[in-house]
Amino acid sequence: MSAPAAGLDAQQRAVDTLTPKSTPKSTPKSTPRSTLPASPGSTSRSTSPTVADLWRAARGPLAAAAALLIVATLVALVNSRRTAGALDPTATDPSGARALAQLLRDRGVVVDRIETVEGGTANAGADVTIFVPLPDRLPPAAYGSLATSPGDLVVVNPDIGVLSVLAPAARPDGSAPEGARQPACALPVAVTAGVADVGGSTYQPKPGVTGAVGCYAAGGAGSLLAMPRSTGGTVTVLGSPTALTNASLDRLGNAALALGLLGAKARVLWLVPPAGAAVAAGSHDRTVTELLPAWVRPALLQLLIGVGLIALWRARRLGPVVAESLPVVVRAAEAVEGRARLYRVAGARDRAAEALRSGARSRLIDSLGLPPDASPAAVTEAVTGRVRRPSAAVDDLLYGPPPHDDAALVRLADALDALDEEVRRQ
Amino acid sequence: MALTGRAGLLGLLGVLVVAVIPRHLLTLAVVDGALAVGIVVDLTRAGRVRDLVIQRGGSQSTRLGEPTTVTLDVVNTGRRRVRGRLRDAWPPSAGSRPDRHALELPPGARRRLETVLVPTRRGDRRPSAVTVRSIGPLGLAARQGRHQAAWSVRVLPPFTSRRFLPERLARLRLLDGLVTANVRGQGTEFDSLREYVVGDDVRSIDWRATARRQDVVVRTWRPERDRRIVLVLDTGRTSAARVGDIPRLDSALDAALLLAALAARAGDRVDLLAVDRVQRASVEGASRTEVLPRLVQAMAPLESVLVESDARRLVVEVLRRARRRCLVVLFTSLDRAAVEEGLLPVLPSLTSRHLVVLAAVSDPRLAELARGRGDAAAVYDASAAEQARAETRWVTAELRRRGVEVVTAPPTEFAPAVADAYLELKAAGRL
Repeated sequence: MSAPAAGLDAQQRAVDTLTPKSTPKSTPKSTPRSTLPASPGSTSRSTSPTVADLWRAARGPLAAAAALLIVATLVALVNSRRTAGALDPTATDPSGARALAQLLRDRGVVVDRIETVEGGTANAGADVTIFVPLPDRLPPAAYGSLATSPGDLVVVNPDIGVLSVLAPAARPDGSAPEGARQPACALPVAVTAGVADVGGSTYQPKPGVTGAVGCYAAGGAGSLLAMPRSTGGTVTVLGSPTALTNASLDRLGNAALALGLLGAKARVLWLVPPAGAAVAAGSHDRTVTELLPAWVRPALLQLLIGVGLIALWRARRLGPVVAESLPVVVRAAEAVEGRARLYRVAGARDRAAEALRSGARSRLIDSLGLPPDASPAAVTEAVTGRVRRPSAAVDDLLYGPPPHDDAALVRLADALDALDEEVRRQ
Repeated sequence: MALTGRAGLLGLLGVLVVAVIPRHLLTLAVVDGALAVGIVVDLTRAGRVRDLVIQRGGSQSTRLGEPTTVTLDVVNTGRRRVRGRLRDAWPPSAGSRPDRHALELPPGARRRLETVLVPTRRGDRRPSAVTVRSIGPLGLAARQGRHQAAWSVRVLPPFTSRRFLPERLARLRLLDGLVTANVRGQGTEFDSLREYVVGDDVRSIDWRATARRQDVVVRTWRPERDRRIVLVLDTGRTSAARVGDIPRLDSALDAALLLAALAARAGDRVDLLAVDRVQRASVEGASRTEVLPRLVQAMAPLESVLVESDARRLVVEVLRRARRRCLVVLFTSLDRAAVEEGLLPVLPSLTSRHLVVLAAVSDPRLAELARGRGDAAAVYDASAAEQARAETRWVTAELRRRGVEVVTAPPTEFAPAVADAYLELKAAGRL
């Protein structure tokens, strides 16, 4: 059935009346109709979203995103004063040391937070305490200048490499559990502080070294070791940072110990290298990225852009996938095949044999012209009348006991076929 | 919007440019900046898809498997040329070729695009959206938009059993006496009186009329005309099962069409009822010339529903529309559970007033399975098939005992078997 020519003429007229700016909706509905029912309107309607539609759809989520951004910025601003960082003089978290820095300042000690050794120790003079809370973050090159700088030096939990440069007279001994401990020594700072939270690594002066005092020993070596430096002043090694942190400063004699260690001189240079400083400045091996030629990175970036454009090209479909509900596909014999498999799995030879026998009987009854409800005896008699077989054998075949195994079942089926064939032939 | 392959290719060529020209990062910025500008220019200069007006036309119905053509008239009412591709999306079973067209439309121009449909499923096929990708002058980017243009193509049942019709019509003419002399026994309706010729059955001599004239006069008979036939299609779960890859329902539709064509020629009236739990289709009181088109239209959208059919509903519907005695041909299956639980209890109210024929497709696969011998698996298959056949035999016997004619045949012979059953009933004057 094709569209009548009249419909097409009307359509042409409709097109002629269209002005360039008119919308599809203004087209007169001139559907070519045939005699069939359900002829739908055939003028198109654009279903793509306009800019206004997009704006209408997007403004809700955009407003939500903007609100989220504003809240996040406010929270960040509020929290920006709180910085984190272990033993950082500006950090207010439990492992920070802002409380200690504040106490020092209250006592008239100048606390300067420096990030590199070069930035602070050079012209510091001798009336200064250099505090190194995180020695392993320092680039190895910094140890040398630290070792030669004048003033006191307080190092927290140094390893053997740091120790050999900054306090060559000491050696690590082992470790002790952290906990409240008696000073048990003659060091004035420790005696003033009394019981404090000390522990962690333990240190001992090397044999033959004089003037070294070990405190807070848990049997043997001490977790706090003070000894004179070759440049004047003293170097103090502390086994754990616990006593200095915001969390523990107000316990026992921790505050007194910390103030005693750091507040002896007029100024504290608090050395807090940024994380990763040791790696960046320390390794002089050039990495793979540094070895690449200069053009490789921009070219890779451009490759990424190119592949991205190709992905966008390929990913944009020409219209959505059309879904269609499909009919059910069920083979009519599926139930029969399923039942056969069940018989087989269950070994239901009795039922299978009975089905085969009853099928064969009904075929025999048909070909012998017996009534459908003929008795077993009548069927046996009629069959033996046709074929030369003993009546007992025929009766056993048609009405006998179920076969005892699958092989017997197969034989039974063949025997029934043979009997049927024989009856037909006679 | 959409990008083209050219944009991607330029992006990749940019890799070479960036690698070769020194000051790589600056080059990269220039290359990608130029590409971005090109894309923006294309997007703004491409013809607007919204300004297209699309009208559908062409065929609105076809037979299953027969090609038909639908058209799209595309008019560009915008001020810019629309160049690009158009996709006319139809469901897969509509078999549309080609579904993508190249489009080149200057402002104000009009093009007709033709799509050939070769449907692979019966029913109503409706197109999805028309999508147009309008590529900009640089060929880097394109605008893309969609239009909804409603249309519907009804795919009618194929009526493959048409080829059996001429032979059955010949037999019908034989019955009707158009070819050979009317003889008693072929019909019960009195037709006319005519002179005796040698060979006529002496039992048909009308002695009263013979006495009035001076000649021996015989009565002639003709088969009944103007009988009503109600074709009832069961669209419930049993009709969904496929026998030889054809759903039972489709075999039934084919047979029903052949029977209806034959009955319409024989002068009988044909009604159609398709029912499972609710009525799915109905044709009533169609005139002889228009019955076939109306049946075909009513049958086209029928689909099997996976519910148990409501036999009581079916009987009520048949009784409601047929007051006089008529022939009810029930297209369903001989599934024991369905017939025993559903049909048998309500059958008496139908058989007491009407002549009922139950037509069911038999499954040749059962016979194939029943012949299985040789190993245990095959013999178990055979026993299950025997069991199924025994159930079918039982159902058939039960139905026959209640006065229902049962017609079963494999799908390939089903339609002629039903038609023959009708012709036999007509010949025996049982309608």
